[in-house]
Amino acid sequence: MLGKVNAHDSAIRPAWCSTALRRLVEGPPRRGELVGRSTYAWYVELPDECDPPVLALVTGPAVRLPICAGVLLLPEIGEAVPVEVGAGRIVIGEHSWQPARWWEPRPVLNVQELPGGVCILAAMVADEPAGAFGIDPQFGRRAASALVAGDPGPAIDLLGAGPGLTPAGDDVVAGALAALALVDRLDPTVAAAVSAAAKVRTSRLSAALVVAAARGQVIPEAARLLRSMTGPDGIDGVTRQARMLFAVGGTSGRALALGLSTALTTVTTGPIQEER
Amino acid sequence: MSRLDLDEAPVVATVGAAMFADAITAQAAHVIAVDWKPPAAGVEESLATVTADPRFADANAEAVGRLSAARAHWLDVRPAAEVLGLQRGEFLHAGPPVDWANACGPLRGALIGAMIYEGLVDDVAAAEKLGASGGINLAPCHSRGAVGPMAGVVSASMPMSVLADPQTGKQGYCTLNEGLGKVLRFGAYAPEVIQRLRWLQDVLAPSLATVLQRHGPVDVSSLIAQALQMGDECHNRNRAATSLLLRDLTGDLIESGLPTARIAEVFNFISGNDHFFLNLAMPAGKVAADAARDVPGSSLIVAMSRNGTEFGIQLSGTGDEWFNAPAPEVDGLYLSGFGPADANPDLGDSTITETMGIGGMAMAAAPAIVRFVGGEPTEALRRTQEMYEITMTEHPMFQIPALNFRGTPTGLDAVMVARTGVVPAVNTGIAGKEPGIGQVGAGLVTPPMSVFTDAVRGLAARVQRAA
Amino acid sequence: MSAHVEVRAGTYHDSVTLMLASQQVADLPGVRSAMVAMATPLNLEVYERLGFDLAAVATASPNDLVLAVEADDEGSLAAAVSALEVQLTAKAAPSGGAAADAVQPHTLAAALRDGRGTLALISVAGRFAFVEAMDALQAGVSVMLFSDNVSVEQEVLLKDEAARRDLLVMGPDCGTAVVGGVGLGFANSVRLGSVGIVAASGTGAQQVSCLLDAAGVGMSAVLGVGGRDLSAAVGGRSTLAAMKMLDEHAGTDFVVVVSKPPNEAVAEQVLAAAEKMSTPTLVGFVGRGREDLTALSNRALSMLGGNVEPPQEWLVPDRQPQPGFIRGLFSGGTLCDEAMAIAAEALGPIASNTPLEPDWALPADLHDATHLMIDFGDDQLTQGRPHPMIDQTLRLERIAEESKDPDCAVLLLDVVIGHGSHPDPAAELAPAIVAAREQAAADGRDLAVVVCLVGAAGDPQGLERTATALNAAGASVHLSNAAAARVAISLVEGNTR
Repeated sequence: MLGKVNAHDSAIRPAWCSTALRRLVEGPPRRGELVGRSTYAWYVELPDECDPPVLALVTGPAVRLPICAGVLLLPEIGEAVPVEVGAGRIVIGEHSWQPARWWEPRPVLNVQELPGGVCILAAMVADEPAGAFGIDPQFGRRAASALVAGDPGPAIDLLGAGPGLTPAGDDVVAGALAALALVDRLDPTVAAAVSAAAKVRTSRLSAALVVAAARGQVIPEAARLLRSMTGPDGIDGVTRQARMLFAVGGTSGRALALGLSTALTTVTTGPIQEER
Repeated sequence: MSRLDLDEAPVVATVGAAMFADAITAQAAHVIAVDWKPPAAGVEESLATVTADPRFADANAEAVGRLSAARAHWLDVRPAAEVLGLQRGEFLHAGPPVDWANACGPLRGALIGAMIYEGLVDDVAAAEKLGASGGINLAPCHSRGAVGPMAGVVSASMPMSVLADPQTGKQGYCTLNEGLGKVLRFGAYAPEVIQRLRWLQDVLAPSLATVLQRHGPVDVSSLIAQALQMGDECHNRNRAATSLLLRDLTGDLIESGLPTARIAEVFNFISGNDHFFLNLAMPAGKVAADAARDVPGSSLIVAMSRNGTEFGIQLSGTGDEWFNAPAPEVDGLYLSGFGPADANPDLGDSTITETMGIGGMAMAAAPAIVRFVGGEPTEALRRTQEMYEITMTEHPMFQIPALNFRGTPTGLDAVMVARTGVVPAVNTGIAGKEPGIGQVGAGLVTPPMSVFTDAVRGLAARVQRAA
Repeated sequence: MSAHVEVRAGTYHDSVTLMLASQQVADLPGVRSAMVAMATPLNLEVYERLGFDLAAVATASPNDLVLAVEADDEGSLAAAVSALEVQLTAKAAPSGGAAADAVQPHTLAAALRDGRGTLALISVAGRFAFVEAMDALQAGVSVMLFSDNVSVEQEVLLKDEAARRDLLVMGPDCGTAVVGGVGLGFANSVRLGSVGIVAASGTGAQQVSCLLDAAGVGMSAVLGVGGRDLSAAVGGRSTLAAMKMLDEHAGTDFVVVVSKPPNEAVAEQVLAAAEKMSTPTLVGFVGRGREDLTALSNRALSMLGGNVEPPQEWLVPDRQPQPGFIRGLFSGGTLCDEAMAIAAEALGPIASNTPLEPDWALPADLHDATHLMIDFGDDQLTQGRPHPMIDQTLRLERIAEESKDPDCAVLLLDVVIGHGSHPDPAAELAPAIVAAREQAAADGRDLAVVVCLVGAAGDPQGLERTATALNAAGASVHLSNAAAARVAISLVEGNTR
């Protein structure tokens, strides 16, 4: 499906960019560094003052992070290539991409219609084995509930905890932050505290994702799950979308779902009882 | 997939102007471009009629479901008079209906041989006279639940393999393979040919019946599935399948109580004839194809066959009607001493193998004979892959190792053939055009497009009458 | 005449190799016959028939290979034998790769088989379109049917099939759509937002969405339904389905339905459906004697609570009314209709190839000494050539022609940019406008050029860039088609037929 392109082909290619990158890509040019490369995703780090300070270039089956630009294919590329983002382009070595369209990582939700779907999600999350989240789900639930109550402490303690490219603890916190942001229940000081802590307690990529989550920006699988809660497909739709989210990454999808589910349950039905 | 997702960039399958596909790619969205050509001239209205029939999708699903679910077991070997009710003077032949006047050389040769074999006449001249005078009755094998390779001539005394679907009990029949060289199916009628036929009748048939009784039914479908993974496509190559069959039967053959000399005779005959299994693969195909007949509205091809004069097909949705065109030349490789000038046009019911999803459909499974398609294994792969375009499903049991064990392209769809211009890939042997010559080569046939477009028109006419 | 006969013991070649070798050697110049085969009794019969000496192979067993070649002379024979050797010892040539490249699909059924495709875009000639559309629907995929000339019966069948499967058929004759942020057909890069548009006309949808875009309002989706959807026969099947789809879509907060005045019963159905929707919905039936697309867009903007300001214009100063007529040269049918409706009210009959009234039809040569407007996108004028939004040849020719016509006072043009359209229409039109004005000036006329520019800021051609280039060439440029028409009228005031 994905071909290789000639490394000397310097034509400008189209990209579909998250609106989270809009200011960055349309702003003044900034030097960056290609810090990670896999078959389907490249990661670019930018100076700290950039927002976001990390972006991903993804293609094919890669998870579409809220801070990514999608491209039709990733070309062959040498080592230590110069990177520049801005002035309407993402330039990596001899290759450059320009946004042909934008996609919105922040889903639009009909908040009043959420509760039914939240119950289904909560039940599905509870059915997952405790080991499937990458961290003890109890800690996750506690952190998410505390965020609803305006206490960032347990969430901050969770940052950087667990396995994965994005530590599972971060995923839980991101899920909870995103849920609260989307139902307009996120206290800005709480968001600021967690975002600030993320910058020192976890990887730059993961921290950037936590900051995006605090703005309601999530991966499409999470956005589809949230939309399905108010969509026409009812229980089937929610169940299907939840399974799709659970399938993301090793533990990321489930951890994110745990954060979303706990925060939304707490908001819509009051604090949940801690389980044994 | 269902409902239009308004939140996600679509993956757009495009058919038509390339500029629209380019415009989508320029927006960093994925395109699946269709390499579209207009269908054969004048058939588009019939195509629309057939595909607009509310029964269409379900009818095809039903028909191809029956075709691909069918299994065939070899039960017995019995005389044609007994299992087909053939009378003396009654003869079956390959392909669509044909009379003596229009019969090709090999078919006439085989009929001459069969008349002599049945004792209707004493010599060739008398046989030709009897044939020309209308003194024999001719009918297609296909009309009687049977199939025959090449000329496909069946007469009352000939032993027939009896195959049946263990689930439905539906039966299919075929003669025993005579081996190579001068044989009746290629139109030879010399004394040794007749002698061989008598040996089949007197020695091989009763021996096989005894062995089968002892062994129980032979699962022919399973042997095909295994052979496809051993380099056979079970039309032009049956070496693995014949070996598997012989291995399966040998124990019972030895313990059959038959005289040792006869056991050796039977064993050596089958062992020395790589195509012995073809005459079992074919009736297995007949069992499957007949199971799929008579589904109103269905464009599934249930018979595809040649009598050496005409190439014809039948559809599930068009009953017993044949759609015919002049039989094409075979594009092939020739045995030493022969060339295209010696070849008869395409002949035989063996295209029942392609009809059921093997043979040319499964070319990718048979690298040993890929030189028939241009010499490159990649060409064989491409050919099989192209067949998925004109078939309805993938066979649940017959798989192709080189395509990651994907099921063979199964269930030829006349509508898809007419739409794409891609015709079924057919492998075949080549008969000499003069009576009495025998096989002169083997190769590929390009079926005539008009039979498929005519069949679609025929189906459209029925759809309109039903509406 | 020379012959070569050789028996090789213990060599094994499959029969295909041998047949291929025999055949290729037999085809060499000077070779009379060739045979390469295992020495079976049957093959030896053939060998004998070909005239070779049996004694030479007397000791051969069926496990041995016989090579026999007869040629006109020693030279040919030697060449044949060495060719045979090459054939038999040839190693398989390496082929590109282990697996053949996947075959490109020939039908939508094949293209959609792997479940990856989520939408089908069909632009083959109308009589071939039905089966392809049916493929898509049966694969569970919605269809944008750009093709026209699909029969009403087929349209109804497709839309019923779509309804059974909860899918949407956009078209036939659907020129534009925006789904998931991707523009299909002729479409503009309008900004993302929460307004969903359902439109029976492609350029109508483009005009409305671009005017909203210019006012800072973004779109969640633009769904075309085809020009005939709101006829009595089709009954608004796709319009109603698209409205329901947008109503259920969380990302859509406001719906605009735009069509020319439909069949009355269907209009009532659409209005009733809009009434029942939980999403606020504006239904606009635009046309002669009704509101125009710009007025409809303004109504939508004011309902959305936005600031309604006149759409942007790039004017030419000090332009005075001239004697003569308006010559409207259009690529978009709906834009042409709208301009004619507005002009007819002020100026009386407007001659056209797509006239508002049968009496106003242009003669076949498309010329008349009056106000006239030509839709170059009409079927009659697009036979065998690309759409005028892509290929401007006919319009450029006509502009040159009008520049020499003393009756022509105002050229009124539409320029539709966006995906699918000409990559840089201004690059061709601007010089043509300059040339036309110079030609007219040489003849003592001041030829006014008025352009309606339909586009969004994000379009690849560049909205500002295109407008500036056309303006610099001497045209006044208007994002509103209605405004452009009114400016054109003002420049010929009093010159009725």
